[in-house]
Amino acid sequence: MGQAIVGDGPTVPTLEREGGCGMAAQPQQSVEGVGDEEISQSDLEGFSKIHIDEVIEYVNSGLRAIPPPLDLYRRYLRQRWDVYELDFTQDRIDWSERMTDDERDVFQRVASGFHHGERNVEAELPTFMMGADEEDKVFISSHLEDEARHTVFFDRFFTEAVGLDEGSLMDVLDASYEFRSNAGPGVTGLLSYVSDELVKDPYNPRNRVRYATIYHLFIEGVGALSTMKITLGYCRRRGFLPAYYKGFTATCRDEARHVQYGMGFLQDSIRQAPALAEDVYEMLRTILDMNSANGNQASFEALGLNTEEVRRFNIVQLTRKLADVGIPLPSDLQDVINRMYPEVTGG
Amino acid sequence: MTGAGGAARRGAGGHASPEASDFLSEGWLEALRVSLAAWPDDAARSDPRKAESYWRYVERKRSAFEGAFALGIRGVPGRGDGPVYVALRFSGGTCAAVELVEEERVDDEVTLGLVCDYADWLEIVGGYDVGKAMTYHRLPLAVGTALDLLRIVYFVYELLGVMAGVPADYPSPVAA
Ligand SMILES: [Fe+2]
Ligand SMILES: [Fe+2]
Repeated sequence: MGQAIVGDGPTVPTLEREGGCGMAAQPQQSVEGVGDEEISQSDLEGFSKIHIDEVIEYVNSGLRAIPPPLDLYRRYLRQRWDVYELDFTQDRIDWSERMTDDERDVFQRVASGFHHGERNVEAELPTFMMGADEEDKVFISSHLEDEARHTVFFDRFFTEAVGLDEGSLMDVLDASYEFRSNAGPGVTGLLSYVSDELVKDPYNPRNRVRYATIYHLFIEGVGALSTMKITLGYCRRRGFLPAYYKGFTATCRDEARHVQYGMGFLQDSIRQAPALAEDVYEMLRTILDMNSANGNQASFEALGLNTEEVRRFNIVQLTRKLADVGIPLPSDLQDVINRMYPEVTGG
Repeated sequence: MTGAGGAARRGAGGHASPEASDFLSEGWLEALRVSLAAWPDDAARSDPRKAESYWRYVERKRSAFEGAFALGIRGVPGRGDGPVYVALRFSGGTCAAVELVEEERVDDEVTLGLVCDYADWLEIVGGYDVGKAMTYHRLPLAVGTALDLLRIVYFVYELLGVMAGVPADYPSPVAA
């Protein structure tokens, strides 16, 4: 059953396609075998045939012409999937009988960060809605529902596949918290402070741009994609965890809408007030300074990627997002980006 | 918050260890200063979640931080409803002073401040994770901006951990 991911798929792309990593390249053709249209239309079952690199490319290709918020909302209505349709029976077997201890160890460490990341981006998003335009509010309501669904997805994964004791959502969050590899609240946990500040002054454009920089640009546009690449690349290569594969690939397609909206928001904000680019830079400098403490992201090798590949993938994603926002990269920031540690987080 | 429940072991019933001073007393403030002078000790450094790069970050922030970080604790029994601020003053990379600061003066005397309820502080003392408390809005900012905090966040995280680890005889929470 688990093999179906590979067996039924089209040509299985190599993981090096992005990891290598066409740093400056903006591929015109986002996919091999599967087009953006197919990803856009896929139902949950269809995701078992789609490679994560193709969905990551779909996230980025959508940034060339960002749709307005209500168009993204309509897309959400078409693409929404039912997290309760997933069946984790095979995932449980794969987890307990087929994966090695090392694989389980790294996988649950990476997935734990995302479990909390999903919860944190869900809980902190309403503050961004408060000062948004009315059209944006409609889209943000769909974004919020996505994040709630992603949180439930990880709750189901940790209880039904990993086998953590069931309980309230917080009970399972508390249990998966024990797997994380870094001390402290992490970048998604620190959203609480950025959103507290936004609540006090929800229309303040500088607050909003800082928020979108840490939330949409960094957490969703950089950190999340690396977790997707690591875990989904592993599932596909090994033919394991089919429900995780389908649900998390669908999650990645949802992220495309979130990242496109966020990059569109930043583009518009900076077009109207170019000085706001400084707020993007300052937030990024701060995040990357925090990232400099992250030296023990241990190894991802058990899942088939080495630390340097993940690091380079992060750098490519971050550089691309800044290009998409349309602001030049100050040389000090480029230096810091080039030195960054792997950032495996998301939401 | 849920999940800790060990706070009462450190007082709140008079069973603190012999070396514990009353929470917020001169003796406790001095014990905190001594702990900060010895920090990070081997036990702190052996935490597998804190890499060398983590300690380099913390060291860099400690060396550069000129000012006071404070934690305000609201509703400490016998001290009114408002927060009592414990301020840690740093200069030249060392903690020069540990003192209580009145709420009215905190904006003038403190560079960065967080605040929490006494009940939440007892949970942290009992083992509830500081990172979770920060994530779940249990330690909001009282002085400074979000960026100010993010710029030194793991340093602050460590300071809170040291503070929670100083033995204290905590007064029993007043029943609501
Ligand atoms: Fe998202
Ligand atoms: Fe999400």
